[in-house]
Amino acid sequence: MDGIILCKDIKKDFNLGKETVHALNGISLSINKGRIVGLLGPDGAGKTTLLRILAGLLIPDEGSASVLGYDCVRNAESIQSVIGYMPQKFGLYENLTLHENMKLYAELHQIPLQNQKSRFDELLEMMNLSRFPNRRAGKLSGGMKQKLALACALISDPDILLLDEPTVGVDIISRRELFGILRKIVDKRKSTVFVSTSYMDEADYCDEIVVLYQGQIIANGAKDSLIEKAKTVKSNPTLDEGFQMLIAGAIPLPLKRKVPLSPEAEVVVKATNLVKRFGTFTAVDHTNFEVRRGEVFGLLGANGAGKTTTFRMMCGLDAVTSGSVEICGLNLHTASGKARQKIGFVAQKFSLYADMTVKENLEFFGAAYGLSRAKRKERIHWAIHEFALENYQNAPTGDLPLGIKQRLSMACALLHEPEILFLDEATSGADPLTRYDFWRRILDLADKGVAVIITTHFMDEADYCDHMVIMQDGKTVASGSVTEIRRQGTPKGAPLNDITEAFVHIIQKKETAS
Amino acid sequence: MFRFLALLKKELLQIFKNPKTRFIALAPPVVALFLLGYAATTDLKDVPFGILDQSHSQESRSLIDKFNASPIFILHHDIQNETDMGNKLARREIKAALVIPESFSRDIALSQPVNVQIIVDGRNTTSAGAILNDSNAIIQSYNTQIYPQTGSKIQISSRGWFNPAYNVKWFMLPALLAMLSLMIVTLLVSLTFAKEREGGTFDQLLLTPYSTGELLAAKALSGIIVGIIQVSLSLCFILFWFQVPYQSNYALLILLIFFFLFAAVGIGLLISVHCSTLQQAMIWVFLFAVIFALLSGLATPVESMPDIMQKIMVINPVRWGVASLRRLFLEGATFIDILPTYLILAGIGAGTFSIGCYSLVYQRTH
Repeated sequence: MDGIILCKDIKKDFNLGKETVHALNGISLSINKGRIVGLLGPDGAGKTTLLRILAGLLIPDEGSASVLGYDCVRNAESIQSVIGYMPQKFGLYENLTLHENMKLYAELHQIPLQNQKSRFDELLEMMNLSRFPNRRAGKLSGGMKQKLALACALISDPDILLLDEPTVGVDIISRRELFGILRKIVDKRKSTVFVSTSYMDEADYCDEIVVLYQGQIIANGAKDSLIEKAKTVKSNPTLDEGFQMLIAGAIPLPLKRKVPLSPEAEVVVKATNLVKRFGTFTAVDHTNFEVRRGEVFGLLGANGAGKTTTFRMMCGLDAVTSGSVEICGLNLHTASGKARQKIGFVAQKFSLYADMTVKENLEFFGAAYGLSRAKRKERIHWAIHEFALENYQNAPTGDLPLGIKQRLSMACALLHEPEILFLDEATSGADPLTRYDFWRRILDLADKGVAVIITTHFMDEADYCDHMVIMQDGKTVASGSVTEIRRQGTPKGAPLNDITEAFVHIIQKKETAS
Repeated sequence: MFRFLALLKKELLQIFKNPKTRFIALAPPVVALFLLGYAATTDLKDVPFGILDQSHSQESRSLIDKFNASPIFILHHDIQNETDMGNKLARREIKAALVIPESFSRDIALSQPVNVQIIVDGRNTTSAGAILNDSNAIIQSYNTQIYPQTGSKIQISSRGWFNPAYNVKWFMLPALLAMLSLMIVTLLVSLTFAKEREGGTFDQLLLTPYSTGELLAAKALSGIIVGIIQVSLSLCFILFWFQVPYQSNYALLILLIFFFLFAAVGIGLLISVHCSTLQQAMIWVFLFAVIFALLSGLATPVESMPDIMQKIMVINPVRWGVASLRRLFLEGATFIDILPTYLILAGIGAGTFSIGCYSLVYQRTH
């Protein structure tokens, strides 16, 4: 083994209440110089723990690790001086400008003053951020923030970069850009990048992948190592299918609607001429939507396109500057209490009461929506079974693993049997099996007549949508079924693009036009 | 109704399930009362006290013995003359001195008015006042003990009306109760919305069919409940541990606590609605609490504040709480005495609550 990063039989346990979680359970790997290695796996797989051990920030219970020949326990400080580590919530100071943020990190890394200026210029240039060195970090879009964070991690020109989910919550275009930058750095400096992600499709940008699941490596090597096994049952399997094959031993059947959307279905959400202005900035500019009973409605867009604001206006979290939203014929702003009764909402970030137990959360939300005692009992019973929460009823919600939290969020949102379900990147960070399970439930609900409005960064989830809308600069730039969107996103005469390429094409076409 | 109760239960669970807020809710008032009850009183101990006995008589010695018997004073008998006394005071070797004039025993024998002088180091007005009070008490007891048939012969000033034992604890503790409960309850309530905002639960809560008023009312009521538990604990401590006597009807006290907490909760909610982070909320509460406490009459009399300040401080709930608690504890005040306080506290509570409610509605619709 002559890798620049070496791990041997690493084990790390965490105590969550009474339970012990094996975050890492015997990890051995070797990474060679000059490669981009993707650490793939769903949330809670142990990615962050592994990266923190390599960065010398966490001591493994068993086993050993070394980076550039330095032992991760004994020489932690030497490691920290030669690597660039970008944690998941990178410490950008939102009230400082880009330049001030970089200056701060330069000083922390003791970069001599005379070298700072040229280094900053070089990095900003590389990140394509040199247009606004004096903008405050808080005013940047999600993708730009991640690029700035990367720039800060690169300040000391490290030989090894450990990046913890730099692309989470970032749109596909910014993700491509970010990986493009990493590729340039690796080509130029022969540095090594170990980058974690929960998006399986980012394996495409990596030279090698390490796939982590429940604290163990389930695939390691070239990108194909993930799909090898799946090839035995299917030609051209996707990375998700490869993952499903490795974990579950089978590729589940593609999900299909049992009750397709009827064209006569009644409109339950009607947004008319929605406008949202923040001061002089128009975030959403006269958009119109109609969502029918039983329809799965996807709202997509690049970061900062106005997608989130639109979504929040449609469910009543943000007030509209002008225009109106009707929920089942009720005006969301004049009859908000009644209209909200018809809505279920699952946020991207876990947003239940962390100090309360699973049961207490369910009880609260059941009562909040006015369910009678008997009804509440029945629905909570249903939710606990439907979402397999039996073993967690009395656990404090904050300590639950992510997958369970996501199931609980869904359970709470569905207790009162809403007619409309809003899902804001609800599958973010979930593994392919969980996502499959999640979508099975969503399509089931849609079959029963629930309208589902969803935002997502997983382009493959667009396939489940009956109708999609792509937003850019506060306006709708494409709308229709998946096939229609793919057609709109394909240059004339070319073979039909897949949905990801179509999306990128639509956004970039508009960008160059403006 | 049960919907509202569920909301209330959630608020209380949030406070008591989190070890940090549970601690804030219950521990500080008791700890603070305990410490302040013992440490921050102006009760005196071991005061160096000079004696200049110019009479050298049987009578003067028996008066000095009285001072000697007091645990408060340590007597210094080595005062040569008035100049020496002045020097020793200046050098802080003694804090006060008793001067018994030459004519002392003769005046007593002739049943004439007798004067003794007490010289006090006035640099610390608080301790000076306390020394004077204590000295007066001793002389008074000397008068009644030695000359019961003739009554008072040594000139003394009147004793404190409401605090016959000169016990500063009696004066301070009820007032401290007002200040501490305001701080803690306002702090707890002010953190609630910020906590929901930081934890991401705010959106989820806003999407439930609860109206803005219900959301605020549940938070207010949970704050009042926590406040009542906390104040009851502190009251028990004051009544049974420090044994401060209570002179009025307990119903008046309970009513006062309720209105006081209502005002505190209102202020807390108003702060909470306008703060997006816990840090912001804490800074505002701290600012208000310091101003309210300093200008409450807790340490310095409200009457000695500039006129305009007195007028502004009408909105200070601590001021009303402090004054009324003292009156209830020490004076035996009646409902009519406390009524203005009830009205003002209810007004502060209703005002802050309405502004808070309006602000939240405004935030949701703009």
